[in-house]
Amino acid sequence: MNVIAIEKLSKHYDAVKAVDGISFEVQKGEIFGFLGPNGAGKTTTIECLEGYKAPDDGQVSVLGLDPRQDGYQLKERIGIMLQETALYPDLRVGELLRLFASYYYHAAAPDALLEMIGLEEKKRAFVRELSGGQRQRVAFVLALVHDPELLFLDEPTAGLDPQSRRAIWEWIRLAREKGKTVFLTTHYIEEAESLCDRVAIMDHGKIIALDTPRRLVANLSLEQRIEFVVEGPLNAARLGELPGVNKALDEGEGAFTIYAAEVQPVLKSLIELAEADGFALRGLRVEGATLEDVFIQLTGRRIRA
Amino acid sequence: MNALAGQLRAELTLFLRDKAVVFFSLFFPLVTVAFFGYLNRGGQVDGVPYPSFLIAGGIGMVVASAAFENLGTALARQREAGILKRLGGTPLRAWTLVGAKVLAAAAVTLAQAALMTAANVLLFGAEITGSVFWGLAVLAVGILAFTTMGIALAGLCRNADVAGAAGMALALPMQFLCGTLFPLEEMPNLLRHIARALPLTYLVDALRGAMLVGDGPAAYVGDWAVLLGCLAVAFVVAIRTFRWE
Repeated sequence: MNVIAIEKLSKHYDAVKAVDGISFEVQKGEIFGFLGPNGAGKTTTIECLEGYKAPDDGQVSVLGLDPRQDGYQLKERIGIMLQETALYPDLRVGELLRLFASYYYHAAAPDALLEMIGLEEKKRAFVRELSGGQRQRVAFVLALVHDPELLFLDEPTAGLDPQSRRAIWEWIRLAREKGKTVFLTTHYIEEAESLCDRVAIMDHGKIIALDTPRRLVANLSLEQRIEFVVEGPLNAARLGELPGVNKALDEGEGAFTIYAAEVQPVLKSLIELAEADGFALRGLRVEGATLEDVFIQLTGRRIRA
Repeated sequence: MNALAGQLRAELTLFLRDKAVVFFSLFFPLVTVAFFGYLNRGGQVDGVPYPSFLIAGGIGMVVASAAFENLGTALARQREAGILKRLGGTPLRAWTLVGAKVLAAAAVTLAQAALMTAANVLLFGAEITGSVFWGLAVLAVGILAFTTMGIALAGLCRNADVAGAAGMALALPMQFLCGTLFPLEEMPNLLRHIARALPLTYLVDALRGAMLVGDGPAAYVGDWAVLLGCLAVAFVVAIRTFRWE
């Protein structure tokens, strides 16, 4: 069953096309991720789904409703986390949860939610006294006060330390276990790979790939990534000429990345090249390809450029 | 708890935590009234002792400063900070939010008006010789009208700075011109015309009539009509210009 259906959605600001005719569907119970660099159109898309923005063109259906026409009905059933959620700084955490609970017909007990995010001892703390990570957790739990069917999380772990990030991933998985559908945006590769059931890669307002993370990577011809730093002169063009190398990138400051289907022959010829040209290899690392590599192959750029 | 009650509770809590704002919107009118009350403590206006005449004017000053000097700026600031945007992602209606803000501000202003009255009575022996009931009735309508105008101001202004400047520009002339400290009849023609264009004149006039003589709406049809008209127009403007972001 489709929880979200978008067809040929377009939205532009003046001359800039923020979202350019995208279509996709999100199924019930999945964690669906939008991966892309800043400015790719992720937030504009999510805000069209939440009802904040009116599409210029195309069809948007969320839980079978039109976010602009049936906004209030829809908002009873969706939970929202904005990219940077601003909250009343002079309310206490418990007061804030109770306030948000008052907006909905059905709301969960604030205490249980605070316990889940490990902030029960912060119930009487003012929002302004919380650390960035704690505030992010509160913003997350505010999306859950009314036990919504569908969660919209715009960059839910942006700027968080790894521990808080993993905690939020756990709660997102927990929401899926309870049958909720999650739509999130991220520019973190790891987040998209380890959390999302399906990922849409977005760039310049268009969806350039959409599949499970595993299949997106598997479809790449460039399976392995070899990273290293050199001391001495080396031109990326020289690397590209080596047998078996599909692509060679100069990352600057002596760092290079090579993509290849087979590692062994490439490493052998790389070492021969180092000896012949007189440069030293440092910090050599071989990894399987990631969604970052998918993005690079599709666009020629890194996600976090 | 429904949304209006929940929001009202939060708005009142926030108000009471912002003690500086509550204090300063009362402070300036109180100092002014103490000054003029002391200077004219033996004086009379139309056979009424000046301190008793001054009560309604002092309350009028409080109402204008509470409505225009903070409400609009505070709302615009919440909008700029993105706090309202998050609320816009819930089923909370704009009119519920505006209504809660108006009611919370009205309750605080009413308490400030009570303090102003007490100050006049204690300092200068001012007396309420008319009707407390009609006084409270016209004050309630007046406070609602002005508070709603203060909220509407935030919608009409682009940002908090503009709202702050516009509020100041509205509140200051009203506080001195609208029959607050002197009767309109004693003012130069030009200023009197300006005063007639300002809504506070009608609140002070009806409030003074109620407190000194005990007259209800029947004797002040024009004043009541202006106040109710301002309330209706301001509410429509406040809702229509309201923006979550």
